[in-house]
Amino acid sequence: MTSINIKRGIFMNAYALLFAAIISEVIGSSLLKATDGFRKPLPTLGVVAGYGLAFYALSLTLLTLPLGLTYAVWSGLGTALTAMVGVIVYKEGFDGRKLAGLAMIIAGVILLNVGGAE
Amino acid sequence: MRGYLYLTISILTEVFGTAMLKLSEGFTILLPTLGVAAAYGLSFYCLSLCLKTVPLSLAYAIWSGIGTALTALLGALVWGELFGPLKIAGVLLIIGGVIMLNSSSSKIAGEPEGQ
Repeated sequence: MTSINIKRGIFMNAYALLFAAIISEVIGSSLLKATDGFRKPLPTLGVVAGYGLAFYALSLTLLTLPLGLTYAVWSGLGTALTAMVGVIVYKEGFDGRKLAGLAMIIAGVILLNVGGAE
Repeated sequence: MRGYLYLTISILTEVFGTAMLKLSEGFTILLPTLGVAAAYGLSFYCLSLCLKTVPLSLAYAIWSGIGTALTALLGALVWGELFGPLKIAGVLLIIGGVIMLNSSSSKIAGEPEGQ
């Protein structure tokens, strides 16, 4: 009973860590545009901290979740959320072709990462 | 377009860095470890330069998509990793997605000076 609870705790913790890894990647990638070629110190510091935290949280996630699926979810959601930041915060245009293109790339990345064990 | 040149360099250095990551065997071999640091540094620097003209929503998806596809191809060619129908479909989807993104009419939105 206790061991089941502990296992469940680690399991849920892994998803919380994966979520943290995705959010910090999106913060890092979004700030990358604001660095102006790494010339502005504050956004540059944010990029380094964001990606540092993202990879650290991802490595902890991988202690319990499998690599292929974890990397696929992390990279797919990271790309989708970064695109949303681009459209909403940086006011980049959006149309059906862009949505389709993003969906195809994310689906392709997921296939490549989960297709390893066939 | 200079932005796409930076994007290309950024993708190639990312793939090179990932290959070095494998050769570094958990950062225990010096030369590939230095290669990882240099390649990823250059990759992010070029990506930030690319983002001066190419929209974030386009550049990041292309960078991550083509980077993943080339890394998978490299794994198959150099390390003999399996490359089955699912992975072939993945690569085709990414190529189609990049073409679709570049045909998007909002490609130049958020890009004040057309370089």
